[in-house]
Amino acid sequence: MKKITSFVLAFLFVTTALVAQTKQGHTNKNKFRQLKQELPTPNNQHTASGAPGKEYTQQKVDYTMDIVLNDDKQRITGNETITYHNNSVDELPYLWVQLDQNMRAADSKTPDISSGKVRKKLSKRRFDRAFPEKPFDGGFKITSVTNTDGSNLSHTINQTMMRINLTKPLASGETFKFNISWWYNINNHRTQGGRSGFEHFEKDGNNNYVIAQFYPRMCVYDNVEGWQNDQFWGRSEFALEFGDFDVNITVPADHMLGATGVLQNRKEVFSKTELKRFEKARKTFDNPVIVRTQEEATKIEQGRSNKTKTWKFKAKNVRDYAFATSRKFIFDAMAVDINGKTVMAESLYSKEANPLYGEHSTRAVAQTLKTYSRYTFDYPYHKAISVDGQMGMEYPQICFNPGRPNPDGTYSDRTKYRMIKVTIHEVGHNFFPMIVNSDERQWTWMDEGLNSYMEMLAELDYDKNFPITRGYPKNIVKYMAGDQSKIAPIMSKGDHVYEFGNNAYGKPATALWILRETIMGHELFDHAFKTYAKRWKFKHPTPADFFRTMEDASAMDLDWFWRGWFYTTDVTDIGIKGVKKFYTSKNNDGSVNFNEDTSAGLGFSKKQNKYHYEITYNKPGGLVMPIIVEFTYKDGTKEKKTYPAEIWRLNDKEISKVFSSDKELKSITIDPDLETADVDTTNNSWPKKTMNKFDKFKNKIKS
Amino acid sequence: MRKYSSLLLSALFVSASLFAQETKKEKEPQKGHIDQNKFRQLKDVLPTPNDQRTASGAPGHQYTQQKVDYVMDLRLDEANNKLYGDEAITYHNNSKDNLEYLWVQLDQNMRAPDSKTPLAESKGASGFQTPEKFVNDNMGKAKDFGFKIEAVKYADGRDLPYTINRTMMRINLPKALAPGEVFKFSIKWNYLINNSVKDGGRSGFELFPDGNKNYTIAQFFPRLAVYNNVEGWQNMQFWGRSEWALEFGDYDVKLTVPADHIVDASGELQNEKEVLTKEQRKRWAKARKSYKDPVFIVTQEEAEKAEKGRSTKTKTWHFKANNVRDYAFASSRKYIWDAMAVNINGKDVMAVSLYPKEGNPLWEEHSTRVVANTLEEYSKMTFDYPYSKAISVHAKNQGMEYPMICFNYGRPNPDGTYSDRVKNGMIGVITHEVGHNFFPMIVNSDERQWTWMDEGLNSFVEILAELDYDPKFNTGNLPKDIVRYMSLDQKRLSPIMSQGDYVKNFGPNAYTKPAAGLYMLRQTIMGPELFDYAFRTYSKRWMFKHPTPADFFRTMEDASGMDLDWFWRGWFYTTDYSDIGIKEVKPLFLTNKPNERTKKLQEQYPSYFARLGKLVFLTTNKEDADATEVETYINGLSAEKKANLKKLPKYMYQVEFEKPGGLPMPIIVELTYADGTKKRETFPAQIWMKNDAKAYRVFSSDQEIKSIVVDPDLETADIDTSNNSWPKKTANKFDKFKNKVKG
Repeated sequence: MKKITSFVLAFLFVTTALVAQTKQGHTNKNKFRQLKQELPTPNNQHTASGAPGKEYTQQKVDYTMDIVLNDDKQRITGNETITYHNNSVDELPYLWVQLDQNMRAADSKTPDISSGKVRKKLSKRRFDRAFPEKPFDGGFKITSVTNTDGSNLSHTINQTMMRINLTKPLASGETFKFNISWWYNINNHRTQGGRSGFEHFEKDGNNNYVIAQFYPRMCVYDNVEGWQNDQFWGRSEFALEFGDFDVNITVPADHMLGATGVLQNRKEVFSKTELKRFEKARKTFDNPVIVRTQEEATKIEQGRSNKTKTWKFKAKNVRDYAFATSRKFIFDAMAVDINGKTVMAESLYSKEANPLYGEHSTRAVAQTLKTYSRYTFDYPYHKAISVDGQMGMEYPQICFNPGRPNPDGTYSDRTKYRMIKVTIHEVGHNFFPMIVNSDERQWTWMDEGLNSYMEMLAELDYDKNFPITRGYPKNIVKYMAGDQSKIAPIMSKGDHVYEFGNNAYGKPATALWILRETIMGHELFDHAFKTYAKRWKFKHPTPADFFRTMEDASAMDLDWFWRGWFYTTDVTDIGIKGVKKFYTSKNNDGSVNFNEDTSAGLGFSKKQNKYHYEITYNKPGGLVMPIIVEFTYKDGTKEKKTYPAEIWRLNDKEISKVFSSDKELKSITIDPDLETADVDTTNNSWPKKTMNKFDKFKNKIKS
Repeated sequence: MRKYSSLLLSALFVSASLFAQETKKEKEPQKGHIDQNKFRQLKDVLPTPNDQRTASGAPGHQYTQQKVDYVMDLRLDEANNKLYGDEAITYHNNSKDNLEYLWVQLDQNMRAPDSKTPLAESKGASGFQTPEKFVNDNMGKAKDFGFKIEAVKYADGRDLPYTINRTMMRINLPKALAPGEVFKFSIKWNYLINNSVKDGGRSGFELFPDGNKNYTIAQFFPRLAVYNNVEGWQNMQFWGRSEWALEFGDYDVKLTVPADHIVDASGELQNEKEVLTKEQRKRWAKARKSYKDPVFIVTQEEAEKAEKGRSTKTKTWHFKANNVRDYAFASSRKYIWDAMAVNINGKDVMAVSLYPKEGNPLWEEHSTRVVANTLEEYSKMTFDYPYSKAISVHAKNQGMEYPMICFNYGRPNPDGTYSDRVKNGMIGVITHEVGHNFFPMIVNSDERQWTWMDEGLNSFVEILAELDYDPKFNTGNLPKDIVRYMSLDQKRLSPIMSQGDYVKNFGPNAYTKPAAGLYMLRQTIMGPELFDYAFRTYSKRWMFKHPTPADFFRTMEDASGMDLDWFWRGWFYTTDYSDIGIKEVKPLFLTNKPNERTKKLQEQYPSYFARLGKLVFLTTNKEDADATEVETYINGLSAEKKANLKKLPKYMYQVEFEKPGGLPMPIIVELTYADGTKKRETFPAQIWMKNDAKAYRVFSSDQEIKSIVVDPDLETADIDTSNNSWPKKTANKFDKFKNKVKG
């Protein structure tokens, strides 16, 4: 197209503005510029549309394990055969194995990297944890690493990572098989912390075991990170390959056990009654069926069997493995219909967790599977278990959740909703990252943020008045308005982030909520989100794959949104700077004059046919966001207008809009429904609202 | 190279000054920095090369491109200004990816009542406006523009699911389209055509007082978006400014219009016998052999007669166009029609014009000739024009380009007279729009993302074509023409490497600045030979393909052997400007007397100076001038060596150049000697590599230098020439004013 000569005219006006010229040139800093430099160049493995490319490959790792739990010593012993399939096009001179238990070893560097001062006072639990009488002998004791012929396999341990030194590089397409034998002392997660461990019940002397990160696991190898062998410092979670598991777990004969995978010998480990009840559960879609009752469990927990039973599982296409076992466990289960396929929702809990768990746990599991399947893909596994593990941790098909009633069995709404919330969250993790298998070590938000967003939808499905405390735009205002030196962009690695929860859970969840509710609308958002989930199901997506798919599937350029919300710590703050009122008069030649009505307020001094308001909006906040305006007329009726975020593309500070109507205005409000996480609403109204006490206080602490 | 001794000496000086600092208070801790040198490579800015786009800027061995074929039946309803279309699309997935959905562009929706374009404009109340605009803005009902999609169907007639998001429509494929597969579907649509004079727009119609209309129609059919491995689907919304990204394909178009209309369009006419008279066909045959002057197919007299009638019958014009990225047409009973042949390297191409009598006599004099000139000049700079024809259509207030056809402005006064301004404007726009056949119609860059890639490159070649048509032509795209823009307040500037929708001063940003930059590269930095070879290499490599900015930057360097990263970075990625000046000129004389500073050094390091032996010095003091030491040395040389020497320079001038501007640029120096002779010296931009703020040169001569001027021919877009001369020119009135407003 030919440029138009209006430049000449523009120049005339501009010359007067030459005073106080900014001299230094600049690069493209417009907030609507594309993310070309931030995102990796697309290639045939990760396409520009955000999908896996034609040359996308992924390693596969199969495990065969024999695990023995020693309840007396709280110790796990394992023998493991790993079959590593090199599906990449690269030759691998070495393999990396994760030894997560070493984070807890005596020589762990995790305690060394936290800055600490002497405190005036510590709780007993914290004191015992910080100053133990006898240091805990944690960490993997690797007893052997051998080839399949029994010969020793060279290896080097660097903290939580072990390098297998191959004598001959593993060629593309080849498979390598090797064995590791090990044992470790299990931590008491209630006193020592951790994402797995045991809980000890003083009263009856029993232990509930919730076991994970319990075996040496292969690291991810791909063409994004090479080997993802970033150390496990204790916070940023895991990057894992998919594979098939064949696991035998030997525990005391009177234990009830739940684990990842399909149980192969239910008849050997369940009583006849339990088998019958379980068969009933498989056909019961409305209420959980109790397979081991509280009464039975209470009886069993008095005993101490000195026999053992071996539970045999097979799990296909999972990225990890976990189990829970105790003689205290009550067990219930119920069938869930996922688009014609039956999936089991199950719960394992001790009597101390009842009646809360009996009433809500399995139901929350079922709701999660239904809601998440609707927005992503049909849940592909056969079951999902929630365990009374008194933490909040997720593994494939099984997760450990908090929440116990008072000793008398009563519980507050707060306890109830927290337990349901965490259960939904952890079961939800089956989708992100257990199936849409992002790299948790690098990007916490990719599973926690997406999952925290989905969790809201499931919670509202479970109870439409669910007291959601995280995810709504208004919930994140306090964090985003905080001291910038304590805020990191979402696109930061978890280990060096402040306010981990707000940063990697709350803010991304809110961002997605805003995209869906305010910027894209349900139809466009849901299709794009589902496209992302389906594309990366059983694969390894990166942030760029998410950002690109959301745009590619919706035809919305969201680079400005990703840049602002994910790559910066900018805040939303849009306000009304001023309003001018105009009425018109006609000249003899037919041209029209706009005359300003300078009277105070929004009312006009004379009745007019048409009322013209020139409203100047300013934007003290760094984020570009749509301007949502509610006009209230004198007669009380209201009208809403939304100007897209692109209105800020030529001026990031201040813009004007004319609003013309037949009726006089009484008031103008920006973002009346708090959709945009505006950190300061004192400038959102016209006429300006007189500050109430709280606002005054707020402004005081802000300055 | 001997750098040993000087290094040693400088180290000595440094330690001395460090010593002096120890007595001062504690130093601020110094902050380190990353590489900020203006000559650093663009590694972190350009995408990583891969097998689709190589590091040399060429399409790689895995480069693929989709193909989209269209078969369309179109019906123009003149009475109601409506266009109806039945469109069958064949989509070839040549990529290596599975496509879960396809995206179709619905550009007409930018004008729909629910368009977000007006909402994204910041607009205060204007103090004055025409009654018509006022009434339209405040009292008019929104016109029912925008596509009415009647049906989207599989080839077998079943409904195909789709989702419309403003100007983009997603075809929801029930099964992903695999690599190598073809998908056929059809869209039935209609829309209300806008009056492009009153409602604006890049296509539409003009209404004449007698009720006749001139239809110049484009973006009239749902078109597939581009899919590639740079953007995925290029489905950025059409806001009204940033133009298009389109795939190549073959078109088969049947166009039904009133029987008395004359039509021309992209592609070759298939049914000449049905739509043209015998006489017209005879004239066409003559035009095909006329290389000098256009031949009238329809004369003004015939057109004036035709425009009085109103046929109630229709005629169907049938066109086929192969390997084009878009389609457009023009239709009216008002058209005069002329054509001539152009020989492009042995192949005949037709230059064609369509215009109403209101365009004459200007149009019959220049339009077709300018088309011909453009095809010739652009073919020289790029590749032989591959299509069969290029049409220039007269359209009020428009300058818009489509494959083989474009719509141009330029209308004489009602009495047939016209000013030079109108004439040159018309020649300029025709050259520009016909030139777009090369960029982006054939070198098919992504206009939605990068305006400069077609507008900038096209405006650059346009300079050469215009100067060829008329050597005195004021192109408006030379380096001196961009000075005013580049010296604007930084708040009003965006780097060229910006997406068009958020750019201020769009014309200078995406047209003039890149054009002037390329002109500067050709004339001043690379020279025409190296530049033209590289530019042609780029055009040929990406002919009928989709290049990106990196492909252009890389090819220009790869084919010329010039590292231009500093130029791309400064000119394209920043808003820095050029400002080089002369800070100080010191006349120097040979002397035997050391100055105070040298004396001090000699005392401090006697053994070092003892090793150096006899020395001569330079002084600013004319009284101390004494060349005897050098003369003695010369006298001691052999006669053979003496014979090879130049004259002993009597005058030496140390010039300190300053660079208030951020851009590194060559320093072009013109020296004027006492006898009036002049000498030019050019120091490459790399002179600024180690020091971005100042540079020194010494000029020696056997006669006095009267004056020194930097950039005498205004080649570098230097925004402030008040510091370009020595002795300093007294500021004239304009400079004073300029300096005053600059503060």
